[in-house]
Amino acid sequence: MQKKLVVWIIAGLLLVGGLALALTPKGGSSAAAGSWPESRDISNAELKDFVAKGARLIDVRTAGEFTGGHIEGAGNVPVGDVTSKSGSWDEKTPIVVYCQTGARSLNAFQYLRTHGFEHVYNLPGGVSGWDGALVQGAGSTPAGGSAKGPALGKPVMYDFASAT
Amino acid sequence: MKPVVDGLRERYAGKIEIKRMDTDGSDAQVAQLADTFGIQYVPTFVFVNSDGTVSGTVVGEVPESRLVEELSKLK
Repeated sequence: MQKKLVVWIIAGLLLVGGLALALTPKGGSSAAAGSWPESRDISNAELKDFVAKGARLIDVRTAGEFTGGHIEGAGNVPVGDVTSKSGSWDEKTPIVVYCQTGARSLNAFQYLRTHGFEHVYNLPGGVSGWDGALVQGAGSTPAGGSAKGPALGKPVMYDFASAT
Repeated sequence: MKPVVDGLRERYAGKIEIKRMDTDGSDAQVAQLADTFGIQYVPTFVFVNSDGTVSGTVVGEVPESRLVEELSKLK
């Protein structure tokens, strides 16, 4: 009798497990080519996946923090500039935002989501929770923009400095 | 950084123009370029090729070698 009960319990568990697997949406954790999941928080692995598939990666920290170390492929748009800069961005291109701890990027995420951007993703742990390498130094071009100075016929180094 | 930059200006005279942009003043050209390059902090060094494209940006007090590294990339 006891043996029969155990068999029934195992059969029941297998049935429930099978149903759960069958009902899980396919590709729920990664973006299929050409289709992107709804805007939400993403993991480090998803960030790499999404960027590889063509999402724009934006570091919303300050220029100084960005220079100190950023995720490869990121452009730097400090959170205070997202409002003005995003006006020229393509709303259909998926965007991944991150900062140091996830607080500033959450602001950018919410702003972009409510201003027409269809696929916006936030890295909640930010750089603090990033498990990959960071690229140090500057030499980045602001995301979505190709800053260009006046062509003076010879190379120029501009030294923006305070007089004091 | 001023002595370092002054030294570089002499060293690269005739090859690369090194322009000091005083962000405390009211020069409209400085303000416009600072806006174009998205300057947030001083000092910030912006390296621009002869065709106007930005080759690199360096933020903060850095060793002279870091500036030379960027200067050497300029075309």
